Amino acid sequence: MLSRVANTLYWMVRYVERADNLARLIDVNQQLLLDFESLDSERLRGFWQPIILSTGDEDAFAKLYDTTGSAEVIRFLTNDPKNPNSITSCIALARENARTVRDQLSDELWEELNSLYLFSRSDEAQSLFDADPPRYYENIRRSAMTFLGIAASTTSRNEAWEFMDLGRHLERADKTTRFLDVSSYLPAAAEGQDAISPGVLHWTATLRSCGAMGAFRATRRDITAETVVDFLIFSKDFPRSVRYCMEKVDISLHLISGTPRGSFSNEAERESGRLLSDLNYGSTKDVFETGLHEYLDALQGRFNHIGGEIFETYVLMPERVQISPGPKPPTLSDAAVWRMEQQQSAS
Amino acid sequence: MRLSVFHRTTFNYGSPATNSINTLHLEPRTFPYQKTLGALIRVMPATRVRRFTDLFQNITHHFELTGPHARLDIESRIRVHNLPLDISDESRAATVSKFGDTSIREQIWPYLQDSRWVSRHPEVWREALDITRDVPAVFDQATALMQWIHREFRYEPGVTNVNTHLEEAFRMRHGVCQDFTHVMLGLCRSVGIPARYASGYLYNGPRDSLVGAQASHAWSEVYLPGAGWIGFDPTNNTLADERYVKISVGRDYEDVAPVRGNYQGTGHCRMEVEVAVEKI
Amino acid sequence: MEMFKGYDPGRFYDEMFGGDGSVRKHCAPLLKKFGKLDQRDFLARKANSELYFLRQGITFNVYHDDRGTERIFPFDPIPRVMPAAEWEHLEAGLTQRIVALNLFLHDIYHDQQILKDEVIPRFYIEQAKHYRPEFRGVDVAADTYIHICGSDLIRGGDGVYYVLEDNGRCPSGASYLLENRNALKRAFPGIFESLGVRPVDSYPRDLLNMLHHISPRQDKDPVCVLLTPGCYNSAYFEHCYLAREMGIDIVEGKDLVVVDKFVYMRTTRGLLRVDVIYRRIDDDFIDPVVFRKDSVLGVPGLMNAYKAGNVSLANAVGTGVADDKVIYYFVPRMIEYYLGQEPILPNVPTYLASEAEDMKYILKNLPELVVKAANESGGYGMLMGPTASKDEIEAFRERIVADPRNYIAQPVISLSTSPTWCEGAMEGRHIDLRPYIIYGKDVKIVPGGLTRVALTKDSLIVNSSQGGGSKDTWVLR
Repeated sequence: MLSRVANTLYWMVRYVERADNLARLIDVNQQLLLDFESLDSERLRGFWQPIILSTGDEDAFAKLYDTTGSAEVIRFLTNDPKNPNSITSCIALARENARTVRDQLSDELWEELNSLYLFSRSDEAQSLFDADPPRYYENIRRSAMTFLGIAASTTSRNEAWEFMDLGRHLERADKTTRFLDVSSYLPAAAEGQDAISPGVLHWTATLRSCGAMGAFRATRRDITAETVVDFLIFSKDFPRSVRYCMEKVDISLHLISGTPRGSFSNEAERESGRLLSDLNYGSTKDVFETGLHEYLDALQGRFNHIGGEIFETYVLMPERVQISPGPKPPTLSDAAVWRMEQQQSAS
Repeated sequence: MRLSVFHRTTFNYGSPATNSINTLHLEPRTFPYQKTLGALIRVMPATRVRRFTDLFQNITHHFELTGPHARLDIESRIRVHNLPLDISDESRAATVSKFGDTSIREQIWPYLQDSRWVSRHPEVWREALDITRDVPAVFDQATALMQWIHREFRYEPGVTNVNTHLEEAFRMRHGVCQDFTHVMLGLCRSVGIPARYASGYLYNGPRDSLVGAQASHAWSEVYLPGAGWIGFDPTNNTLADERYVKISVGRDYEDVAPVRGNYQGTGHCRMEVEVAVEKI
Repeated sequence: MEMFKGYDPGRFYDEMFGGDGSVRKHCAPLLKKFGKLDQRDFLARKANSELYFLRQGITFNVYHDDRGTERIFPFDPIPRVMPAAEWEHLEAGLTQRIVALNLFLHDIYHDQQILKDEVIPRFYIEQAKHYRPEFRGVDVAADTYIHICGSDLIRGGDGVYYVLEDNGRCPSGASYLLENRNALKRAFPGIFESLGVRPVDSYPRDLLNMLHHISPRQDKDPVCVLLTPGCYNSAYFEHCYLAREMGIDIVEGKDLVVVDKFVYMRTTRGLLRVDVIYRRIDDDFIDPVVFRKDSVLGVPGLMNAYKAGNVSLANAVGTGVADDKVIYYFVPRMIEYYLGQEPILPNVPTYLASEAEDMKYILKNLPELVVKAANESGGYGMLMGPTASKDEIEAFRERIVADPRNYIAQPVISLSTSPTWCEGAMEGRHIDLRPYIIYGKDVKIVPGGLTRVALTKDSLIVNSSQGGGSKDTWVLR
């Protein structure tokens, strides 16, 4: 298939996945906030700052807002058109990508994404966002889920599908590590104020952001840093765990190239194989010895490396001419052009 | 029945030809059982194409290409609406005596004489007499002659060419539709039945099994008192019904050759013909 | 019939009602079905069809609008109905026309017999803006230049169809014709029953067959692609739609690369040779090496591959000369010259400003005429004499005198009208018709075409860029 098309499908799905994850993150944390009796602005800052930090968009945020209050953070992450990684921006970018490969998508798939886009810009969405935020985020999540469901049931399992799957699982793995990383940015607990230190409440929120609450409960383990980290990084079965996602990435990469698994024909496969084996044989002990934040940071670096190599192999290589992927931030008008490059600037 | 015909003739000249002068018989005129819905002749290289009516009321196109050209492409696209044949019992029963009628005498005269490729050779005449001896009606005589040809002659492409005379084909007992038709004309004319040469195409369903369907076709027409000219196809042993698309009629092939031309040049010329007849 | 109560066909030729207000025979069954709907039901269904367009993303981009606004092309649910005999007549006329136009293009890019025989003055060709003498002597696949033609037809007060112009470059709108039918079927499933409306869905198949027909590698399954300027082009939806319906790749200039006079596309498996390009980019932008140097849309070196015969383009390069409104004037003469036939469809009477007699007439009668620039389209570069101000007329007079070669004038033709839903009532609005003619091995014309409607009362301009909408077109069996 066309390199550009492969690249575009990959990004289309990544953006939908990103919007979905952001919607979960905000929704869960907004509800978590309700569990606290009252927070002064300083404490509120302590609550939201780590979330902004974990997304890696703290500079962009600082440029746009003076205070880190609920309203500001939520607006920044949800529907600020100036934030290229806000939910509505992601939806617009996903749809823009879809538009350029409209011929590859089933009618239903396009319609779903287009409806999500139309919803995200509608007055209805705005009033829902003001009056009933949980339902607003639920709408977004449902539509994103429907999108993935339609994709799964109307896309032939060919190269196009594998590139979409790659995008989905790389994005998922990345977001899971970022959700876990929120704890690294929490301020040290003040005396008698353990409410927002990484306690049960926090890890519960992390699980819920990943939609993992039910699955985790089934393991019948207590909610602690170790068990949650173990589950979200090393679970073999849970579809949002890093290990599970990397397994899928590895499978897709090998299906695309036709190379048997366990061997490799390009750098992306080599790195994904290596990362997967680290995850297969790793444990929480390694994580905490390295330090959670450092460990997660390294993972994110390796995801980016894989993403970059996919771009190198399937999009750049066919022409054998170097197009320098300069680190410019994504904008809406750039959405249609070659765009594997932008992810590298995010971390 | 409505039919469309696509007919392309391509000449590839070994070395460029000049001063090519061509006459076409590709556009149908309107006949009693056939109406032309549309006709389009395309000549490539593009040049001025003139359209005339010839001595037999057929439509002809004429064009000249003076400059050197390595290839000549002639395409025709036509659509016709055909009606089923309707021959009254009276016409079926009519005998040759009716041809004495002065009102039709003039009209049928040319089609009772010898022509460029058709003669009433004694052998042909004797055969025709034998076949029609105990058959009174013109219709039945023509049918008997047609059946005889279909039975006695073998369809075999490649053994005759456009310049094969009836007498040669008659002796060899094989040939293609053009030869069969010439033989039919000779037999008919020998026993005083006016017969003319019809050129056109034949539709035989989506898949072709009848002979002559993927090239231009020829058959004979016999004048039946009261009914007019009715087609008898000795190649397929059938009346020319709705499936037949008629382009032009004449005394024999000479008058109606679909594509005929002269050119100056040295090289060998390769000709390719493609015909497609479809129901619409 | 309730919805059509009080409908005034006015003083124009109305497609549904005769001058005395009686229903035209071929429209009666349709009106009977529409008559069964009450207004609320009708409006709900109309809204439904609009939602379909929006959800499908069948929109066009409005240029120079920073918000990237997408609008749906307004759709009127009352179809235009055409009896079988009328369509046959149009079909024959359009076929004749496209064959003649292609013979003409082949001729002027080769021996120029028609110029030597002085049927068309040489001067007009040589000064045609889109004539490309550098392509003389280049042989194109199947000797065909215009593979897809969108000829605009109008119907005057006398009910006669005239050809208004031919679009032999990259005519657009075919997807609307297909989607209009889909939308109408969804919104009014009942009305199609037993009316004998001929289907239009063969268009993508005909288009693909044509592309295969012109492939330079006839021994192989050809690789065909659709070349688009990208998703910011106003017709981008259509490009995607057609590519998908045909099952071919849609590519942008940067997806293609020319190596040793062969065109390749960049795929995840490396370079893949391309045989046929259905290009939706104008000549000017298609190869920055040969044409506009500033074009980022095109494919550098494409013209080398094209001239070498290694890739076919639909439409070929240089067809724009046939779109020139001065050349349009000569199309009936082309038909007589190349085909030895009378034109089946007449042109609108046309005066050429560069002919002394005509010029005199034009200058004298400016307020009654429509003046058009020879190489503009979409309703631009036009003077509508009867509605223009004095200043506008004088401004045009100067332009005509300064550059007579590039102006023509025509009498105002009162386009036929068709009942159209206009904010609460059925009113007559002017319409035209753009059939799409595909010239491959055979000439194929999808029954009907795109009926465009001027939604503004009394307006004669139907272009989408100027507030036009469209209707489904029904050709009856």
